[in-house]
Amino acid sequence: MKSASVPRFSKMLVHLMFILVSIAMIGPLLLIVSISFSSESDLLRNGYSFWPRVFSLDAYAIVLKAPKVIAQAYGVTILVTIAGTIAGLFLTATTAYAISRTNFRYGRIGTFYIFFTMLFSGGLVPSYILMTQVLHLKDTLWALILSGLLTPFNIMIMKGFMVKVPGEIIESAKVDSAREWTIFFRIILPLSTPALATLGLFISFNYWNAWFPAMLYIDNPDLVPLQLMLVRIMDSIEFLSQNEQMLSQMGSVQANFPALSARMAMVVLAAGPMLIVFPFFQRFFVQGLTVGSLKG
Amino acid sequence: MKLVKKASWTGVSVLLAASVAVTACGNSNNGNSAEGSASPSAQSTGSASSTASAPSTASDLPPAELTWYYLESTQQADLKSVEAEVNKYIKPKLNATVKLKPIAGSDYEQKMNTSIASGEPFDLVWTSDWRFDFNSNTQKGAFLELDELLDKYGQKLKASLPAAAWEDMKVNGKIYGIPNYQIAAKSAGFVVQKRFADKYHLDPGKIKSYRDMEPFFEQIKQNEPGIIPFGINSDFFEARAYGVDYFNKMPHKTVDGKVTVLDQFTMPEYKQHVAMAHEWYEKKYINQDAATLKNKADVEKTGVYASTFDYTQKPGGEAAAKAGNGGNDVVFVPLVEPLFTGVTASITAVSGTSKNPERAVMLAELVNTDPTLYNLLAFGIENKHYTKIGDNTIKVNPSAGYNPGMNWVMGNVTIGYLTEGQPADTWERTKQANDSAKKDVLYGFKFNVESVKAEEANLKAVESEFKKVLDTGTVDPDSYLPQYVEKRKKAGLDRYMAEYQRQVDEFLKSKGQ
Amino acid sequence: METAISKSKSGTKRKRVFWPVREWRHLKQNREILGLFFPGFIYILIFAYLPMFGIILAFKRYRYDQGILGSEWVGFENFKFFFVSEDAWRITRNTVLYEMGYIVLTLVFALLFAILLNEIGRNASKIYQTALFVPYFLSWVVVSYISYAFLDQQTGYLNTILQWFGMEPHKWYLEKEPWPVILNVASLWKKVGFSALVYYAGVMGINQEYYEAAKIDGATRFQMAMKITIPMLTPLITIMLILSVGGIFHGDFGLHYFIPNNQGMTYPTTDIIDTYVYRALRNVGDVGMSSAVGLYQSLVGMVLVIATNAVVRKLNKENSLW
Repeated sequence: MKSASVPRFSKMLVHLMFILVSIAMIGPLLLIVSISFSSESDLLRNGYSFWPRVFSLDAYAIVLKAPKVIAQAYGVTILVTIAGTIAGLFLTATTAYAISRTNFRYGRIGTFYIFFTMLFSGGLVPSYILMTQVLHLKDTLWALILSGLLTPFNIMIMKGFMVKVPGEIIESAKVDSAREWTIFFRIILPLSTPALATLGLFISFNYWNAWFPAMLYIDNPDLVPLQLMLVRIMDSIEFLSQNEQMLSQMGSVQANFPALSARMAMVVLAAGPMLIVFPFFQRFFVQGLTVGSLKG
Repeated sequence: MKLVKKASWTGVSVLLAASVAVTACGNSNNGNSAEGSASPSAQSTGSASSTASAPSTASDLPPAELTWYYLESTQQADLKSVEAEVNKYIKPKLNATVKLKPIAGSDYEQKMNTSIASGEPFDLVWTSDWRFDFNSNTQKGAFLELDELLDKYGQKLKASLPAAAWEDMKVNGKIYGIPNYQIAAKSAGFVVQKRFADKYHLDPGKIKSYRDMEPFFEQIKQNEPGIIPFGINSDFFEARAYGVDYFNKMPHKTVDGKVTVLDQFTMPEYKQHVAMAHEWYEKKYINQDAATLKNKADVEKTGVYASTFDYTQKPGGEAAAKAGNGGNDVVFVPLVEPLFTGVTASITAVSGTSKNPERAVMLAELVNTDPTLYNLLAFGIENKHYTKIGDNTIKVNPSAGYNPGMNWVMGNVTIGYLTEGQPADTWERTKQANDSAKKDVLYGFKFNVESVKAEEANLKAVESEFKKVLDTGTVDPDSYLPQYVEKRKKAGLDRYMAEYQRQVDEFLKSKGQ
Repeated sequence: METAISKSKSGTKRKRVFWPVREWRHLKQNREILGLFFPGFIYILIFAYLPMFGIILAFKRYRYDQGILGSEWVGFENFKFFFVSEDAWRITRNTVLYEMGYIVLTLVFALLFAILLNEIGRNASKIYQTALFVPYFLSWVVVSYISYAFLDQQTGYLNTILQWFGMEPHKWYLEKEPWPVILNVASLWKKVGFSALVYYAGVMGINQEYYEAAKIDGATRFQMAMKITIPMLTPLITIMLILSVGGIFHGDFGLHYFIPNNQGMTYPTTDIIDTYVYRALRNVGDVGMSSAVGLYQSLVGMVLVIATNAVVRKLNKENSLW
């Protein structure tokens, strides 16, 4: 359509630029994948390479040694991501819509009410008290879902999209004596599909990548999400090297910790599914955009 | 059946029993509760009226559920079956069960700091002087004072360890922790691969100072291509090798009975040491990436380091060092006489939020005095997680789902099994080494940082800017050491040292009385 | 909506309605919108405002056995360590300069990518979008392994390339000069995909009629981008900018800690408030002192944001955040 009118040469230039950028973006991941398929001894001797010099599946054998644990971690992550994204996206949309209405005099103070929490936080300790001793949600999936449900950043972005919905549309609906709920569901949500798709993506990625709430609130090994497993594997290396003298003099671990290739295999397992899911999400995302731009 | 009966009995008279039983335990002065409860006859429910004089047995106590946080290296898949086994074992003895909550080493500090600061109730917690600090947390009121509790419920535990160990658990004169007893006699020195030591006739007995290693390094460098003479990624400064007393990271000297603490980085000995390190670095004795190496153990596994440095050189430690060295045998080359460095490297404390402190102490006593329970926690279930290959030696089954490799976190290691490769007399030698090692004049001193917190924080923050590159010889001390010293001065070193000295004087005065 | 506002305005003129009554009427009129706002309001109240009582920890000498309320008040003592520190200026400067650099670079490249993605076919654009988003999945710890592979002084790719061109190899982790470039590149690499996607969604939402009209007038594609796309994106850009200005005092800990490998020699150009505080308090583990620094960062952030918002409001009322 539009692209037809772009001169051929400059279009080639744009493609060339994006191809180079894409290589820069994907390269490191390829390196990680390559390391995960390399033999450990070769890595230690010759360093990393973009193609495994000595191909080996050992790393995956180590990481998947306890397939039940990994499967469980996937289950937790997927469940939390889906539930959190649906609830979070809905709440983000309703809240953002309310403060985006220009004739609602409390919109401005409401915006500040939300934005203020982006700047100030009470810190870890009071949040922990709230979650564990007031709400008693320690060792539950609720702790994971609730702690990332609504972020001020996302509400603000959503608001940024929603203020662009022309006021006349809302007014004319109101003349037809439509209720706010109806307006929100029938008009605002369909018009905001591009925004919903974008934020849905962000919220789901946030849930997928979140490990800190789990580190704080989850003691039960059955409820540990995938990312926390990954972070623990990576951090345990940090921990061991920081305290190497201490641990070695106590006669611990040393030979016990995950090899480099195993760590990278874990990275691949943790990031992989979302990268495969991304294009599917994207199709919906682009379709949504078309609908949005048509109606807008 | 017995359990069910007991539970229902407790249920009926719970109102009465709860109050009476607690006071009963409080009054009875029984040192043999462990033995008493171990016998099955202790099942008798006992009448509430006779409690005051009778030894209170576990079944007199209301059931309790304890929570125990401790450090683990990696997640253990089969923790549940070990926990079940532990509870089966301790329930008749203590009428309590325990929830084992191992926390990954990387999360430990953050998680425990948050948990303690938010007043979460739990009972036992692992602490130390290098991770989740025992001293400062005690000063901030995180742990329960144990003197009375130990006298009432932990006499056997108290008797099982030398008095010196308990002395090290004292903060402001009171005991706040139970040491996980292990090697405490430490001597810093080199760890040399045996194949090279033999080949180049290195005699450990003849190495008296750092410089004595130089001919060996030179030979390695000349004759062993691809081998690095000395592999490090942190400091290897042992003040005692230069004749300066050193304890709790604080150098000090005693002149006419007056102890003066010194700042390590303005000491001429330190300057001399880092100058030597730089010389070694320039001569390529030291690995060139010593300061930037991300993970030394990864490299060490390949066996390219002819020697490394270690601050413990513990009895039987060669086996562990061998495993970390890619399976090459090693020999220890100590530079100094062993010193008793105290037992704060691994401690179990009772949380200030514990609802059952008496039961927590009883459990700690059992873990530290009953090899069956200790071994269960440290190594898992026999023939499942490990198999016995000698009287007291086991072979760990690495794929069975329980192999924490952290026996020193659970309790007194000397009552437990040895793992494959450790000499049979390891524990004898450990105890003997601890008993015979010298004690520093500052032994037992605990610095209270409260009044110089700001200085401490800033000193810590500037430390990593210069210390590592100086310690590893990566940079020339002539230009960087003065910068470092200057920065420490500005961070409030003088005030910090003055406060330290003041507290040391006070400590020595109180000890003298 | 105009009518609603003018009605209430004229109302106040005609007859001075007691303000709570007036507000009550307004709220009643908008009760359905309030209904939509309510769940979010409650969530934020519970999960963000309730824990804020913890801010008092910054002014207390917190002893666990005395509890948060029972601990002794110490005024500004917990703030002292940060302000007396010799490095306070250095880390503040680094934090602000780096964050500003990241904001500007990310904005420019994200806008560029968003506009260009719109110029090419859908299928290709999808592939590029995916590629742009890949770094988002790799945490800084993981990325630090990659950067180490590039920067290692002996086997790193960068030194190999330099030597290939006959240049001297560098000890990257022991030098302070290269880090402003390295960190900016790393930050851009990781964050640009996220912002580009936001702007791309914004571009897609622009009414096609504007472009059709411009085309009839014979506008070039560059003119259309400058005269239509960017002005239409301004509200979104402003929001993103205000949001990031609030964070100028909160540095990116992961980036500044893991990528330079926490190497002391690089501190002059890599150390920021967050990494400094982490190092300073790691051993002391003092809740009061870390709350104090957090509060200070928040306060400065708020001042900056309120100022930015006021400026934006002066320029164009519609673009301001509130």
